[in-house]
Amino acid sequence: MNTQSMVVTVDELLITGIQRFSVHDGPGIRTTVFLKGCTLRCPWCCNPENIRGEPEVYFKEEKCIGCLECVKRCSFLDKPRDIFRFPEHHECAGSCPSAAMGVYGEFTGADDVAEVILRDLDYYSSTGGGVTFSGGEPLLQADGILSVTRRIGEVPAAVETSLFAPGEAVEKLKGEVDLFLVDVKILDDAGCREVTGGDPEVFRRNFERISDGSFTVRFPAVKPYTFNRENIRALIRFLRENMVDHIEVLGIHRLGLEKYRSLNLQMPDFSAPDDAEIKKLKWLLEKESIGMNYLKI
Amino acid sequence: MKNAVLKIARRTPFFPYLRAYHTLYRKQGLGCIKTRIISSSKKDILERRLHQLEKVCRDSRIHFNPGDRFFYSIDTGIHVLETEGYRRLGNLTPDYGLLVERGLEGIEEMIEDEPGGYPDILRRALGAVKLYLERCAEHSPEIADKLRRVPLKPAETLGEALQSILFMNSLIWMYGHPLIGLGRLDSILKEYHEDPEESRELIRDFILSVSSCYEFKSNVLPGDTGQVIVLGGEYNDLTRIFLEVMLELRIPDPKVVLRVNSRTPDDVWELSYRCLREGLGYPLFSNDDVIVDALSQYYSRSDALEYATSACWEPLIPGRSSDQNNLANLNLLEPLEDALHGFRGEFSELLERYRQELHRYIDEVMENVESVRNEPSPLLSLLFPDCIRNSRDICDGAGYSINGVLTVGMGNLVNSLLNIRRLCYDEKTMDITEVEEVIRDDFRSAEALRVGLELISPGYGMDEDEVVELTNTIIQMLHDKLGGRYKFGLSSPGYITLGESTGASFDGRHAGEPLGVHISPLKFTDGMSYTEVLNFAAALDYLKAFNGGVVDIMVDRPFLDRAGNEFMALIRTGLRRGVMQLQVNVLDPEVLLRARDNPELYPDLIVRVWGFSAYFRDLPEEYRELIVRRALEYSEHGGYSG
Repeated sequence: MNTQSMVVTVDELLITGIQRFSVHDGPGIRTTVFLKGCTLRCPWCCNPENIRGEPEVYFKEEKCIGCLECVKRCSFLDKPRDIFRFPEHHECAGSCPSAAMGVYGEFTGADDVAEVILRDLDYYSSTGGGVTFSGGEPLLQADGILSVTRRIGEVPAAVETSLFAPGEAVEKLKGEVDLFLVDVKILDDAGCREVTGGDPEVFRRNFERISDGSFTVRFPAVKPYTFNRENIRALIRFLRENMVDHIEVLGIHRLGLEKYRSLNLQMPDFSAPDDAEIKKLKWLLEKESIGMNYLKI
Repeated sequence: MKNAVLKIARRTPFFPYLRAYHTLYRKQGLGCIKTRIISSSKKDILERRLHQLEKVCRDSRIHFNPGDRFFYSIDTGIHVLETEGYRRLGNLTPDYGLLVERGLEGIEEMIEDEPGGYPDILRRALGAVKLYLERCAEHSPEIADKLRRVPLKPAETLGEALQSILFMNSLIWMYGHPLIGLGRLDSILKEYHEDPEESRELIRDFILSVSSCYEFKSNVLPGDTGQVIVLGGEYNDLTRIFLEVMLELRIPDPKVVLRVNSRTPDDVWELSYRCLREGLGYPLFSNDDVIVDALSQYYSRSDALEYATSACWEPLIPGRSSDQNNLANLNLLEPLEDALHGFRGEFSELLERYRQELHRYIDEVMENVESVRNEPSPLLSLLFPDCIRNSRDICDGAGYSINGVLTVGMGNLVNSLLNIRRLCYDEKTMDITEVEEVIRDDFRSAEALRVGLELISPGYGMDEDEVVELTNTIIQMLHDKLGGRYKFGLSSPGYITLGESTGASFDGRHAGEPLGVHISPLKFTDGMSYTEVLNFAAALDYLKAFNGGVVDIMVDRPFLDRAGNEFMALIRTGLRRGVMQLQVNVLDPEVLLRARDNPELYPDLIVRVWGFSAYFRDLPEEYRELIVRRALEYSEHGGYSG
C-alpha cells in the first residue's frame, strides 16, 4: 500500500521504540524493536503509532501540564491540540518539556540499534532469547533489519510479521533471521481485503516462502473480526494444510486507546473472547491435534 | 536519668509509642545523633550494666505455655534504659554457633582468670544468666529438663541447638539490644540435621517463636526487627527447609537474606522465587561473588566468607564484628546545595567544589557520631569469642570493629548534576547561577522546567556510560574521605525522613519529597527496563561502596504468572553480571490500590520496605504512598504488555 512512502536508507531504521526485557514476542528474554510503517489497517491494532511509514506528531492530553511552551515556541499554535493541524511541525512538538507532545518515529542508525540490543546479551543467552523486530510491518524495512542483524553476531533474531509485504523482503530475511512470528488474521479473501486492506494472495505466497524454515503462527483473537465461526474454521483448515501443530493465540487488549487518542484517532470497537470461548477454540484445535497457548497480555 | 540503673516500666502501647518515636526521629534526622556525654568511670558503667542484667534475670516475668515445644519468654514490659551519652549496641549478630557448640559452660571455660578484672564481669554475667535459667526451669516444669541441659551444655540435637539460641536471644531482647540478627542458621545447624520431617517441624516452631513479640522488637517502623536469618553461601538441606517453612508460614518476620553465588543450586533459586511470588518481600539476594572480595579488603578472607548482614543489608562477620554499620546517614544532596551557593564556573570546577563540600560535610557528621561511645554489654560479650579471649567488653570492639555509614540521595545527586551539565554547559539554555534560585524557590515559577528535569534521559539507573561514570566518580569521592576508616554503602532507610528535611533538587524533586530508593531509578518511566537497571547496578564500584547496595524493584504479580521463568532468569543474570544485592516487591496493583484506600481490609498484605518485610497496613501513610507510587510506575512501564 504505502510501501513507496518508506524513505529510510539501508543503515537506518524508522523506529518508535526499543523495548528491553520483552517476554511476549518470541522465546526467552528479548529486546523488541518497533519499526514504523505497515501495509495493513487492522481495526484492532494496538500499536497505531506504527502504522504510518513516516514520523508523525502526537499529543497526549493527560500528560499536558498546561505550561504552553509549545504555543510560545510555535506561532501557528493557539493551543496544544492545534499541533494535529500541523503534523509537519516536529521540532515544535519535540520541545514539550513534559513529553505530552512529541513525535512518533525516529530514524535511527543500525549501529545505535545494534548497540542497545547487545547490552542484554547475557539475558538472551540465559533464556534462549534474542531480538524481535516488530511493528508495524518490519518486513517493509528488511534492509534496515539486515544492517542490524549483521552487527549483532550470533544474537538470535525474530521478525513479527503479518507477511503482507513484498516477497523480496521475505527472501532477503529468510536466511538471516532465526524465527518468523507470523500473525494469521483473516483468511477469507473478501474479509481480509475489506477489514485489513491486505491482499490475501501476498500473504499466501509469502507464507510458502517461509514455511520450510522456523516459524510460529500467532492468531489475534478479536471479536468480531477474527474470532468468528467462519474464520476459525478457515484457520484450522489453513493450519492443517500447512501441517502446523502449535499456535499462539493472542488475547487482544485495549491498551492502545491512549495511543489512538494521542494521534487524534478513534479507536475502533472490538472485544476479546471470554475464557469459555478460548476454551472452546482450544478444544477445536486439539481435535485436530493442534496445540495452543494463550498469551493474555 | 543520670543514675538510671534499670527501670522496669510498662511500655506505652505500641503505636502511639511508634508515632512519637517516628516524629522525634524525623525531626532529628539520622545524620545527627546528639546525646549528652556524662562523666562516669568505665568501671562504674560496667557495674551498672551488670546490675541491669542481673535485674532482668531476677525480676523479668516468665511465661511458658506447657504445650510449646520451645521455651521463649520475653517480658515485653521491660525497658532497659540506655546509659546517657552512650550508644546501645545493636545491628549485630552474635556467635550462636559457639553457643550451640560449647554451651555456656564451655564459654565459661574460655574466660581467663583475672580476679577483679573484666573476666570477673563476664563470670558474674554468666552467673546472672544461669540464675535466670534456673528460674525459668522452676517456672516451667514441663520443659525444665531441657532447660537444665541447654544452653549450659553443648547442644546434641537440632531441638537443643534451637532452644539454646532461643534462650539467649530472648535475653538479648530483654536486655534492650535492638536489631539483633540470627546469623547463618543453615550453616550453624547443619551438623544437627537428621530427619527432614523432624527438622521441618522444629524449624517451624523455632520461626514461630522468633516471630513473636513483633511490636516489642520493632525498632522504628513496625516490622523493623532486624531479625535476619542469613541462608546460603554454602547450601544444605536446612537452607531449603528454612525457605520452605517461611513459604508455608507467610509471615514478614523473621526475614531471610539469601547469599547467592555461582554455585547456588537451581532448586534454591526456585524456592526463593516462590517466596517472592507469594509477596513475602524476601529473600533479599546478596551476591557473594561481589561482597566477599570487597570485604576481604577489611577482613580476613576466611572471615569474609562467613559474612552475614546487619539488620537490613550491611555485611559483617557474625560473632566477630562489633561493627556499627549504620552509624550515620549521609545525605548526598546536602553538600550540593552548599557547592551551588554562589557558584560560577565550569562543570569540572563544580564537581571539585562538590568534592570539597562533601568532605567537609562528612567531617562534620562523623565528628558528631564519634563523640558518642559504645555502651558496654557483658551479655553480648559472652557471645563474641574475641571478647572472651581478650578479656575485653564488646563496647571496645570484638574481633573487628569497622564501622560503616550509609548514603542516601545518590540518584537525586547524579540526576541533578547531569541536568546541570546538560542545560548549563552543553545546551547553555540556563545559567548556572539560576539553578540555585530555581531550587530555592522550589520550582514555584518553573514547573515546565521541573517536569523536564524529571524526565532526564539518560539518568540514574540507566546503563549509559556517562551515568555510570558520574556515579562511580561520586563513589570515589566518598571513598577518598571514608575509605580505610569507615565502610560506606549506597542504600539507606532515610529516603523519606531525610527527604522531608531536604530542599528542592535539580533532578526535579520538590522540597520535602522522598529521595531516591536505594540503587533504583528515581522514577521508572516510559522506555525504561529491568535489564538496564540491573546492568547499571552491576557496573557500580562495590569494591569501594559495599556497606549495603540494594537494587529495589517492583513487579506485578499477574506478570509473574505469565513470565516467572524469565523474571527469575533476569534476576540471576543481573546478579551474575555483578549486581551486589537485590530485593523485590511482588505486588498486584489492583490489590494495592484497594489496600491504599482501605488498609484494614488487607491485614495480611506484606510489602518490602527499607531492608525488611512488613504489613502494609502498619506502615505510616508516606511509606504506603511511596510503595503504591513506585508499584504503579513499574506496572505501567515494566513492558509487561509486550
